[in-house]
Amino acid sequence: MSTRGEMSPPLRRTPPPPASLPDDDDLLREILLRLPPRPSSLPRASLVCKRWRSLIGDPQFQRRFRGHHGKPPLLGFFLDEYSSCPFVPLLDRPDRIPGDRFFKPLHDGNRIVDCRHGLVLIFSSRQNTWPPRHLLVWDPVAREQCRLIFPPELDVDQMFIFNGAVLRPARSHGHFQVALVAHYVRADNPKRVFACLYSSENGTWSNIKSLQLQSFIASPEPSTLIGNSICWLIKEGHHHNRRYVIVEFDLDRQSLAVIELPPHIEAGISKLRIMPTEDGGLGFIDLSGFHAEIWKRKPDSDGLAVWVLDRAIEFKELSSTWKGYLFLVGFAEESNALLLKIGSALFMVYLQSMEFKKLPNMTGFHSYYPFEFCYAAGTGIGDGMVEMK
Amino acid sequence: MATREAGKKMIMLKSPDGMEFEVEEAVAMESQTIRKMIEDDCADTAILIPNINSKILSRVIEYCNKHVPTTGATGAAASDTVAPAALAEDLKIWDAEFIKVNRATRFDLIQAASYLNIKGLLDLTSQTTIDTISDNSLEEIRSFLSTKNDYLPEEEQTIRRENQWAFQ
Repeated sequence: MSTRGEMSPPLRRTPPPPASLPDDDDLLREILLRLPPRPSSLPRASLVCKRWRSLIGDPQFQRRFRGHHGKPPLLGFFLDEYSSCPFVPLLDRPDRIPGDRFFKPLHDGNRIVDCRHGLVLIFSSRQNTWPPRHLLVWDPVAREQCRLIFPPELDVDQMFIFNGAVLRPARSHGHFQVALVAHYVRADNPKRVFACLYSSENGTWSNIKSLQLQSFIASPEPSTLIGNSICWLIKEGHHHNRRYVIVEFDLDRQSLAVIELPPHIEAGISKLRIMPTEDGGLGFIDLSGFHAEIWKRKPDSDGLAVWVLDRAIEFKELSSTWKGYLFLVGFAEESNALLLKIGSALFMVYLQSMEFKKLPNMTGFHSYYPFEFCYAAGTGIGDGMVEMK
Repeated sequence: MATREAGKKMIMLKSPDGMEFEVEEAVAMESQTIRKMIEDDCADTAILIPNINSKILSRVIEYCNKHVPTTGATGAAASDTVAPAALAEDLKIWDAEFIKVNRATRFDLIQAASYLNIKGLLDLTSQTTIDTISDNSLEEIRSFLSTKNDYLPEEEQTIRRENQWAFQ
């Protein structure tokens, strides 16, 4: 490697440059982009001067800020409580966003269904009726919400929409998608699952896709995003022979598929979660007592996808101190972290490092919806509840 | 000073204060701005780099020279080569030394990295600046960046109130 700098003595001295940043918004943006992705970063920086605040408040800057930092921090959890979905913060001060910042009063019968990419999906009914008649996509950071009417094919009395998912696709410039899965109510043992995808970019629902299964019952576990597929667990089979299967909704091809779990995996309460493997493929974790197994989908010698055991985990630290049943109550996709509950004690377990974090005790039994987001709003611009277009 | 290896294409970079730097084309192409000029055939034998004085330009060349992939591959493929862990560690230590410059030089380097579109250098200089200030008080940040607080006290109070938790 060679570089030759053929320097001749400078003809004149250049004046010493001033020790301030060049008066260039693009440059300042480049620097501010690298503020740490902690929730307090941008609100604090916006108080430096008006110019900073105006740059930081720009939605395009906020999108770049999120893009620059990649995986967002886990800010806390939303809980599925009756007629509300309270936010439980997880971070320490000054990044501890108080619950009332993300407060949303809900009518009776409304229920949180999913939470991803800074959005919360809520099934909603106007007059305390079930099943729900429409859904809300709520952006707690921007304090905006969007009400969606169900697709007409699913918005009929015979149809029960049993789960859903919300996400912001990559490079979508703030647009979101909602996926729904449904079955017929009247059938004692539903055998066909229906799915549909909404895109806020064009404001329409896709055609309904459906898939024939053996008789099944819906399962309330939140969805998991694997690549660009949304996956839900359902229980298939008859009374004494129920087992979990994964329903996979490929959002690119808009196709449905069913994937059986290994035969020895038994159904049970709060013990299974679909999760992405290290390379982003399909996997799941099965908790049994203080022991868990992570399985992943992998091609065998014939190129057919089969389940293989990825690793086994012993929660010895918990079993030595705590007595009772250990439940798997949440999974944070971006942080690759499990939320475990034993009695009223709550723990985060980061699967990569196997680091344990004890969280404040929580009584009651809830589903926990992790809120993983790069907080880039609250800069005092456009605050107030507004309806999204 | 290293000698020129046979077969390496050289180009001349000129700073506005009249200095000329003969640089391997692969080194110069660490800058996406220069790469585009070369690929679009807009580059003659010499390229004038406006707004970047010779002192800063020589530091930028020093950075590019260190960061140009050394696997012997040429052109676009070279920059895709993944450096082994040891090399990456060596680069990190080198970067940490390289960025030990005064504030004015660092700001000039940010500007140069931005104009020349050298992502690694822009990351290094901007991140170092942010790391320097991110744990500081607002007053310290303003003073470090020679920025004036142009809020009225009541405006400042309003903004604080909106996100009170972030200031606790």
